[in-house]
Amino acid sequence: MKAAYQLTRPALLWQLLMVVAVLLPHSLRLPWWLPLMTLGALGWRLWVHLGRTSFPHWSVKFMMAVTAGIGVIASIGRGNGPELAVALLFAGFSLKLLEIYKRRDALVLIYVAYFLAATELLFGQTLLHALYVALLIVLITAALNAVYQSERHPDFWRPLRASVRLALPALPLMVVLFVLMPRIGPIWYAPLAQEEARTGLSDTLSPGDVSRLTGSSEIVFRAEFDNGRSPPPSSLYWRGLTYDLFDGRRWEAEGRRTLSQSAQPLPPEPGALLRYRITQEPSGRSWVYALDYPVSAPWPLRLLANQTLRAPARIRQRVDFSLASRLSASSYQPLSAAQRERYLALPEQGNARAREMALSWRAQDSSTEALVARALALYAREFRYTLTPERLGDDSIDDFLFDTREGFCGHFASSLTFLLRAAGVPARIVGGYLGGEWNPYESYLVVRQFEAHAWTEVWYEGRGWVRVDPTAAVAPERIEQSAEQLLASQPGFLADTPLSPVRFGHIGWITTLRLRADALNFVWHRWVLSYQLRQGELLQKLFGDLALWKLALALLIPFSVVLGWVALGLLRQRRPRTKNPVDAALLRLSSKFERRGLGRRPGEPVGTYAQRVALARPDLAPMIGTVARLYVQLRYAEDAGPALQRAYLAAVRACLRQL
Amino acid sequence: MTESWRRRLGARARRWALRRHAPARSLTLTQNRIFIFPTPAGLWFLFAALVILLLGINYENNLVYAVSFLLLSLFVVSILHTYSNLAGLSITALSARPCLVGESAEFELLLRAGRRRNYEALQLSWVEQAPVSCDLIDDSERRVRLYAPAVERGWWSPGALLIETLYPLGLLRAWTWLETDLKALAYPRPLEGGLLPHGAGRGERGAVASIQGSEDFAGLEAYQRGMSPRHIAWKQLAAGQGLHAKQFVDHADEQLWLDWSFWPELDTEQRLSRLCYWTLKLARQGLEYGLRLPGLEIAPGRGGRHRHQVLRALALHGRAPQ
Repeated sequence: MKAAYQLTRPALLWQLLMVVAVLLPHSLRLPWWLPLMTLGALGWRLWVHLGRTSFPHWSVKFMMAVTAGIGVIASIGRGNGPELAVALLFAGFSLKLLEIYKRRDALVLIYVAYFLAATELLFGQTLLHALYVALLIVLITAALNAVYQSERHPDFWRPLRASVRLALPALPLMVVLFVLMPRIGPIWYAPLAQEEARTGLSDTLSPGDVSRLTGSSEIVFRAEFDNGRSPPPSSLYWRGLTYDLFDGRRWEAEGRRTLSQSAQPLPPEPGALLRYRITQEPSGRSWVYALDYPVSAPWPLRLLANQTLRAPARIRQRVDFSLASRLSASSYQPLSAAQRERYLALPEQGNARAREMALSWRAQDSSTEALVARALALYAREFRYTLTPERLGDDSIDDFLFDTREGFCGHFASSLTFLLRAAGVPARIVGGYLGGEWNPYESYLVVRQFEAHAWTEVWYEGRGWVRVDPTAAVAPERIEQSAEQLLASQPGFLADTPLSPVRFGHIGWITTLRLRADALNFVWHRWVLSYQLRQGELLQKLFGDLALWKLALALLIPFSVVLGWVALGLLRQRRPRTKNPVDAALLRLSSKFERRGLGRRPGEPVGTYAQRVALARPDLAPMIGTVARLYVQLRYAEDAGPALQRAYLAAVRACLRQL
Repeated sequence: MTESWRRRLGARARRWALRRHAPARSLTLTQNRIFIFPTPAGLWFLFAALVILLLGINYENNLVYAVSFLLLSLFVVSILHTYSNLAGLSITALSARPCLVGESAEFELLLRAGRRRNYEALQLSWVEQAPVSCDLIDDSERRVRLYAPAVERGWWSPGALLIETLYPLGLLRAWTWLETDLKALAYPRPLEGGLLPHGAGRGERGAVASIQGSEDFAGLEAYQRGMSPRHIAWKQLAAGQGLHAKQFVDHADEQLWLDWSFWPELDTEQRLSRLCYWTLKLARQGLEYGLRLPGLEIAPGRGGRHRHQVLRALALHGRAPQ
């Protein structure tokens, strides 16, 4: 026969608490009315609990379920599978609140809560998310325990203690499983929609764009070098894309069409390869940053003709790639006629003064080297580096070169490329980042948005593309120092994030804290979030060859150690001493007698026991009689006061002394 | 169909478990007595962990993997917790109260915590009887009363005792079967009817009809609390002589015999039941009565102990002595 289990008050309260905690982070992503409906259901259930109203009729519940279902589908749309599934589950979960009467109802709610807690991790995977979900699981487990706790001693806090006692030893077991269990690829493809617009380089470049990026300290990517050391700052040119088409105001990135053929991998001769690993944050773009110049593309990337790397799709989550670059030279492949034409193209009209100057330079000395040297000398002599230059007019190159004469990398690269093209030298702009901050705690380089940079690449017949950074001529410190040091004094720097810790670089401990936090974040990503990439390597390092028996042992040994420890703790577990001093004193006395063969029998009333002891020890009879009489009075008389208890305790003490 | 199949399997497992141990008055639960197995709720829990694992696999989300592994680990750890919620528990059979056939007998058991530990949410039940829940929280021993219906007169045993627990998470059920040597006495089911024939009493006024009337006025005595208000001497009260009660001599000192031969038309069980009915009736009226069965005679007497003696003789008539 089965008893119909009713839920105790703590069990119900734990469930309501659990529901609120599970839904809290989800509620920000859901249609606004859904959390309100949950609150309504929660309030109704509480009202029922307090006896003010009754459960809704089944027809009401049915109507609510249908309405909620249609509402969810209407407001989310059927395109977003996971979001829709979570929202529907959420709606059902909320309505189920109106149906918890019995143990079975509670179990449905609790198991779904475990699942909803796990889905939270699809939408965010920071350390904070993980900690919150761990907390949720402890809460849900407490709710589950509350369902099964003794009906005679309902207690609000005991389930939480039980849950923590279960979860603590479960954590190391989880870690062992996490490390050892093999990962398999996705079974079916179900993309998660993510927001598209992000800051970062875009596929058009107008001179002012880069200064927009200096307002942000968002991380673009991190790089770890296989040799554990960072290359010198002057070679930290991270290339992302090239711009070739100029319309007089803006440069446009080289399109898919013109880059359709992939580059030949670099010939193996000059210079040593630098191997490193890039961990790129979601950008919503498909380009991947690599040091000048990447030599090959790991799957699934492609190395394009302009020596940049391209991912097959937009990057919507953190990705990892192992790359190799040669710092010294680009490849040499003669330009085709079409390419040459493209890298020389300029708008028909506009910027007449610049064109004129380029032609006059060319007339004096037409060698590429001389032209570049001349331009750089001009920049060094008469130009100023600033993040907040004056606005430029329609002939932006002319305005910059002859009037304002101040600007930053975008202005310099843009004008240099224009001048060279006007003088008949193929040139293009490269967009990417320059520099990075070295994190000594985990030995990697962090590159942030404010390190965005643009420079020029010039075609030298017989040598190929050569990097020419006009900014270096104006402000060499931009290359040698970190962008943060250089830019800190500029008004536009980090304007979007006034409280960014990067701003307080001059305060030592804040920098240390920031680097440590970022190191933690990076380790988190490397060892937890993308563990599947490192599992093979790690297991290889731990066990050598991956024999099955080794894995089995690696699973069994930690499990038996942890479980043995738990078992020992459980079997030796002692309750805090009996709180009631009256019982404790009696226990002391009877255990003393037990050693003399006069133990209290199971279930023996105190009076009977006292008589038995008195018969065996007539010398103690009066004392024992007093103890028994006072004990019975204390336990059963209504007027038992502290004085009586003192007398009783004194009698027990006297008896113990006599023994 | 499945229900009966499950029941048969359960009974078989129970017999197997019980064969391994002799009935005892007191015992402590150890690993060779405790069985443990996942409950349906536990299997659903594992299913939930599996679904979460699939979620992790499909989105290549290592944190979701971790949640699934955490649930699995919780399951494993809860095996130990469930087991330890029975291990070390001592059960002592204390007493069994007699009852009538058709009623439930009360059995008293004593649970004691081994090594002063807590035991939560235990369920105790006799085979196929409703469970009684109890616990040992901040208490090292507790008496538990269990009830089981008596089916047949005489000594009977309630069968195996099932102690089970789902604590702490309901994922697993730990249980033990044990046979106590506790036996209860079932008195025959009372069968109403019949009259005590003339001559059941030894004195001249033996008719049953006269038992009720206790008419002979014998004098007054000071009224005390508890006396029937019908016996208050209103006349004397009105005369200002204080509150007195009229005293009657009734026929309670009359001795009656309940005889096996009274109702020859009934068979053995029915006769015993009829005798049981009259025993209870006479005992309630506070009369003195004796019992004559073939080969047994209990001298007239009254009081609880006498009543028990008579009923016990009825219960055990024709049965092998205990």
